[in-house]
Amino acid sequence: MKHVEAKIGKRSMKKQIRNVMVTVVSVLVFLLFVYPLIYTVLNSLKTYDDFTSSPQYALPAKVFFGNFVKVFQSDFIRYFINSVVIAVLVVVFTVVLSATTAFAISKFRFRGKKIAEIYFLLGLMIPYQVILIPLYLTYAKFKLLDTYFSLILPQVAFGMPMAVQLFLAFFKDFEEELIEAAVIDGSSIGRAFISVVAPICRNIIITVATLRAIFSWNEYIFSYTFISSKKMMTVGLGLNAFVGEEGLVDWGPTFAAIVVTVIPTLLVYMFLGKYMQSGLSEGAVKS
Amino acid sequence: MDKLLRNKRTILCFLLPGVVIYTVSVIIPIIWSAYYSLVDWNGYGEITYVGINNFKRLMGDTEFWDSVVHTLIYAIGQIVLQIGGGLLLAVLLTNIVVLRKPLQVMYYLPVIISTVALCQMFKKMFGVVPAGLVNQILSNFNPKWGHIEWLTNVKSSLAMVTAVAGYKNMPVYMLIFYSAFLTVPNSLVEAAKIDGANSFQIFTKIKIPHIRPTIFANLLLVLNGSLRGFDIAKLLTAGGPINSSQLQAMYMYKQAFSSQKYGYGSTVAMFIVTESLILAILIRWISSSRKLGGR
Repeated sequence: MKHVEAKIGKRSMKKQIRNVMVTVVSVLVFLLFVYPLIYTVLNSLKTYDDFTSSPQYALPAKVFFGNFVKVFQSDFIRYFINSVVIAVLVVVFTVVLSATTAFAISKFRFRGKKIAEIYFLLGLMIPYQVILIPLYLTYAKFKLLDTYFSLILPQVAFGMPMAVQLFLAFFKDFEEELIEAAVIDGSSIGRAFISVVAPICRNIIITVATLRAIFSWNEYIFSYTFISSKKMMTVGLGLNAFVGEEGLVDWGPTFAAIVVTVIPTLLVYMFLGKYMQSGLSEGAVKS
Repeated sequence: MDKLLRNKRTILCFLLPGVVIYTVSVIIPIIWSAYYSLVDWNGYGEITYVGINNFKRLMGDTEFWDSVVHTLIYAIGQIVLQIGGGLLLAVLLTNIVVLRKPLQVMYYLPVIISTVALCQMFKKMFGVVPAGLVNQILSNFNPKWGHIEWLTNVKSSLAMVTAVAGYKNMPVYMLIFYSAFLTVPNSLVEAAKIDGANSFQIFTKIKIPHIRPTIFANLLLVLNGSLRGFDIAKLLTAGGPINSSQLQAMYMYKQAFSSQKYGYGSTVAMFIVTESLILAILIRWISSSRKLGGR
């Protein structure tokens, strides 16, 4: 009896040590992944004097919003609008094109369906920098550089492989009877697609939309290559331009500008993060 | 119904827009790139066909080969950090009992913060003049440590780029491996426990083998992503100092857009495409032969 008790005691002791270890490690990991953001937010609220008089890990002496005023007095609003317009259009086109393409591949009867599927998979393997040179030269020829179009087209196209895959996986288990019923009721396939298929795809549409919106907002290399004028800049380029002008002497506005560019993605992530995470891990957990 | 699903016009209406956009901006540019790799062109003057001369030049281009070596080091770092780190984090996540869900959400933050913003943050944290957060903390221990040049030092620039890139993407693989671990049947784990296996043995002998296909698939993704590494190196160190953190995709970019050598830049691009394809075939082959050979 005593022997068993000792064993149980040893076990719970072991369990406790384990719990403490897990807690300590999870707090450390939390600091690793979240502290940079906390640090940025805290420093965005500091005055110039704060920076010179106290270390960066200190809290601001008092909350100061002047840095944000500076950000909004600059061209940041313009960059913001540009990024929103581009992200919205990228999301709409990616969702519509991927959904219709995947639907056709999965449900329509034609030859070469497997080839079509592989054709779209190729895009996942191709390093996107490779298309920069031909795309840049083509844009230059047709005077398309420095336009929304120049950014939207490649973002939609490179978003498609993954989106098509997600939709294909979804349509695999989609019951054809539902479309059949709608068609018998007298609507065309197009109508049935909008009124019957799209509502059922709601979750997968939100997943694709969230992923692409965040990718688009954070996109850098296409805008760096194709955009040259200040009024067409996206937030990514704008942030760097802003830091170049303001941030070298006074760090406060730089931190404020970083916070401003991060807020929209944080909001989207807060409300739709679970869709985004499921989209990222889906297809990846496959044998 | 069957007839409707065979209707050519309907099929085209659904299929064509997507296929056209994708073909025009992904597939055709690659074919074009292949052509450009055989010419000499500054973008506006005459296009001169030079055949494989660009490739010959590439073979002897030391700056290029340096960038390939940097990419290789960078790729190894990404595998260690993203796959290795991701696995460790996934294990941690499975062991957290209290507040697991909110922690999972928070751990994911670096992934959704834009590369530009993240690099600006790290540039400030690792700044030298004025001293950034890290040097300020270190100088409390030893005043000499307050002047470490993290990003502007030939010895550490590539390591910093590698670390930040790994850091940014690690949570993606944490999540993937975490969901994969959830697919391990509980009965297997219980059976092993009864047989007296400890948690480390359960991890190495049961869980890891069970998710091996997932690990391989993601290894491919990480390696493939490393070949195109660009943004973080560009934004954090601009490839410097003296090209010490220049990756191959940056060298391509520099040749094309800074030196206006669109032909030679495309040659580098073709090299990268070839690498990606060889890699894809290689890993496919390894993972399928593993599967056939059993554990």
